[in-house]
Order: sequence, then structure tokens, then C-alpha cells
Amino acid sequence: MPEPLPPADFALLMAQAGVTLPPAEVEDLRHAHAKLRGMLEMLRSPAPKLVAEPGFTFSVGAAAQQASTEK
Amino acid sequence: MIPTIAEASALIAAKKLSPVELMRDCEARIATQNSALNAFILQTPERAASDAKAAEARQMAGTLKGRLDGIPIGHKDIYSTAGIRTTGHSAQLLDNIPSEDAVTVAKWREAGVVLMGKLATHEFAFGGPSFDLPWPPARNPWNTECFTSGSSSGTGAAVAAGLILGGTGSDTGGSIRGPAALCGIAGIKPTYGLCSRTGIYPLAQTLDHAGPMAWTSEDCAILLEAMAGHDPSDPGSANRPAPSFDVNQDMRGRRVGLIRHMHEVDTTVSPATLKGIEETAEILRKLGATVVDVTLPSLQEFNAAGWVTLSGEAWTVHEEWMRSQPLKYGEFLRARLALGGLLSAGDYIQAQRKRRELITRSFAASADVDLLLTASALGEAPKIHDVPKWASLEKPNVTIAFNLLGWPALTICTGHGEGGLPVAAQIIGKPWQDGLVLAAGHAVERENGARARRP
Repeated sequence: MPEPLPPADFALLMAQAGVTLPPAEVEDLRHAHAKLRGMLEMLRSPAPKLVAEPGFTFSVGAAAQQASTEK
Repeated sequence: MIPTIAEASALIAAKKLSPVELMRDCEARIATQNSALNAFILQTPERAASDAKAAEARQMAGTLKGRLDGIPIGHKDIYSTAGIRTTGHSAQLLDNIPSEDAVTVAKWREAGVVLMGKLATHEFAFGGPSFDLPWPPARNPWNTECFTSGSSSGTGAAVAAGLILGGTGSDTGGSIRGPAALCGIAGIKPTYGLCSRTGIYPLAQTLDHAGPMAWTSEDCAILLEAMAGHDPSDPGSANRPAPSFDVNQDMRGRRVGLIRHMHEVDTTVSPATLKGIEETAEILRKLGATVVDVTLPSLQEFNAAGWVTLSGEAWTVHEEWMRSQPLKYGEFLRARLALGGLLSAGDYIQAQRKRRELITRSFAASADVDLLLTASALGEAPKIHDVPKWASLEKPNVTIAFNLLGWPALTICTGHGEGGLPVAAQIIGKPWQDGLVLAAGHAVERENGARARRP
């Protein structure tokens, strides 16, 4: 499981969401957020080509893909 | 004796049971038990009396509307009821009195049910068990020190204790099947799109399902038949003919896939739960079905896609109040909603990609079976004060997989564990095979003897 974000980074994330919670709840949430990030890592595997998703209408050629990976 | 809906409706049709007497029996049990169970957060005795009298008049005139006429029920308090307070068990909606019934509430009303009141829920079907809300959480009738599971907690408790014969639940990640399991009753999350959600407070749009809970699968079939059907005002509602269920379908020739890895590898269940699943498989085998092992994607994959989807969608429902008046929520819900606010658009889209992949893999893996079988809960109910706030993030549950897939999934009671509390199994079907799922549940309940014992 990932480590919890540093408190300052987490405060920034909370501010971006526009959520203000009592301090004790923020600390509890910071640790829960690490567990959620663990779940997010499971979603980062390469997605299959999906005909219904507009983001998949352009395929990068194999040579370009390899060059990009080598960089 | 507390009758099932099927028994009560047969007696009412034969003029051997008065709907008013049936309603009074439930009322008497509510009077003696609700203060310990907290199942109802609002009782509607005047409405119940008038509904029961009207049903009795139809009984006498020979104009009964069907099998639900005169049957005492309750609605989870996220279902809108015209002129009757509907709060979501939350201070946010303390004074909310809807002007219209939810579509499913109206369908049951038209079928002649007797409304006993509004039932406890985890706050907005997501935050519980909570002790900082306007009403306390429901308690398990098998042991009031114990958790009912949620979020349809009041319906689970009220049905098990016989305060009502059936009720509504909603299921976004297991909120019908969990309380059905821990309270020892039956509950079905139907196929996505079968029941309207119009007038039901949403939690997560692409995962929310409305469905019934009752003592038996047969009763769930009667209730579901009366609540299913196309609703043009719900974009998730399928335009299909209203179903008619035959719970006496033959199990001979059916193929059942036992998803052993879900309850033995991906997570572990109690010995009594495992025994109940094996016995369920054996009963289906004896009835002529073939049981084979099936491997679906792991619970961990389903849970990751499921909780990111649920959290992200729930945030969009509650964002405004979370920014303007977060302290009006209970602590559990406030924290769970806040987590959804920390997700990015990319996180949500990745979850949808994973979801699509899981659907494709699940259809392929179960192509040659009609039904699937696994656990519905991990074991008996824990003590209510021992339920961790972040349980869902710590251990995968066995229910949200079928919300992601949208497939019908039924909890049935399989017996009782070492602590004397109920244990359960989950029977799952392919889309629109709700009738077959209910028939399998009915077949197993007739054989396993678990319906003979009440709390």
C-alpha cells in the first residue's frame, strides 16, 4: 500500500476539492486516501482498445511507440 | 406465526385472513420490538389503517388487485413518499416532504400494499453505522448488539423480525444483499435497468439498483414483479416488457458456476458460510443442475474499479452540500464522500476502462453457465461498535462486482453460524435472468431448512 501523502500535499488536495473538515478527520482521511491510492494503482494497467471510447480512435505506430518507450 | 407474502396473499384471497388483522399483527410487533431494533424511523399508523381497510373492502367485494393487496410493507427512507417525510436518514433532509411517490413506491401502492412506515438506512445509503445522526442505526434482530450491515439496514431488521412482510432496499455496492445476509432474509439486486430509480435519492448513478427484500426468494419475486418495468424518466431504465417470474422453474439441465476463488482466495469467509455455499451447490446438483468451477476476474480488481466509480459518482451527488454544510452529515458519510472529492477525472476514466474490461472478461468466463454461486457476506454479523469506518478499503467485499456488471444477484439464507446468527450465499445470473436466479433461490430455500427459524 502506498504511504500517505505528506500533510502539506494532502492539505492542497483537500483545498482543491473545496472540502473543509475538522483536523482529526483530515488526518484519518489522509490515511484512508493512501488505501484508495493502492486501489488506483490497480487501474493503471494498459487498457485494451475500446471501440466505444473516443480516446482510442488514433493508434500510435509500433516504431513511434517503441521510440517513446526507449526515451 | 409470521406468514410469508405468498402465504398471506393466499389466505387473503381465500378470505381466511383479514388485511386489517395482518396489519395489526405487524403493528403489535413494531410496538414491542422497534425500540430495540430502530428499524423504523417513521411509522405511518393512520396510512397503514386506511390502506388495510381499503384492501379489506376489496377482499370482501372480490376485487383484490393481486398478490400484494393487503400486504404490510415499509420503504427505505431514500424512497420518496408523497406527503410523508423522506430524509435519507440525514439531518440534510430533516424536513423534506416529497410531493410525489418514487415510481416504484407508486407501483406498490397501486398493487394494494399497506404502508407501515419509513425504514432506517445508512445515511444516504452510504454512511453507517452512524451514531451521530438524527436517528440511531438499526440493530440486528438475531442479536441487538450486532450490525445489520447496510445500507438497507432498517429493511433487513424489520423483515427478519416480522415487523413487515417485505420492503424496499437499494444496492450500489451490496446494500440489499449485505443486510439480507446478516439479517437472515432474502434480497435481490435486480438486473441494472429493470427497476426505476426515479424518486430514490441517488448514491452512484451507474451502480444504483432498486430492489426488494423479504423472508423468502418467492416473496422477493412477488415484490420485484410489482416494482419492475420501464420508466422513461430514468435514463438507466431499460425499455423492455415488465417481467413475470416463475419461481418453480426446473433446475434440471442448468449449469451453475461456483466462483470458488472469490470466497476462498480473493477473500476468506467463515466456516459456516463456506459450508452453506457448498450445501447450496449440492442441493442444486441434487435437483439436476451441473455445478462447475468458474474463474472470474479477482475481487480486488472489481473492488478497485467499483469503489473508485462509486466514490467519484457519490461526490458529484453531494458536492454542493459537502462544500457548503459538511458538518450536517454524520462523520462516516462525510469522510467517505470527501474521499471521492480527492479523485481526478483521470482516476474515474481509468475505472471505467477497467470496468469495461471486467465486463468483457466476466461474460467470456461464464459463457457456458446459467448461474453463478459465491458468498454474499464474509460471515455472521459483527458487533455494531466493531465495524471499521474504512472496511471497504481494507478488505474486498463480494457484492460490488455484480453492481459493476449489472447482473442480477440474490442473497439467500443458508443457515446459522457458531454465534447463532445467519449466514448466506449469493446466487447470480446473466442480465435479465432475474426469474431464474429467484427460482434457484426458491429451490434451495425449500431444501435447506433455514426458513424454519426466525429471530
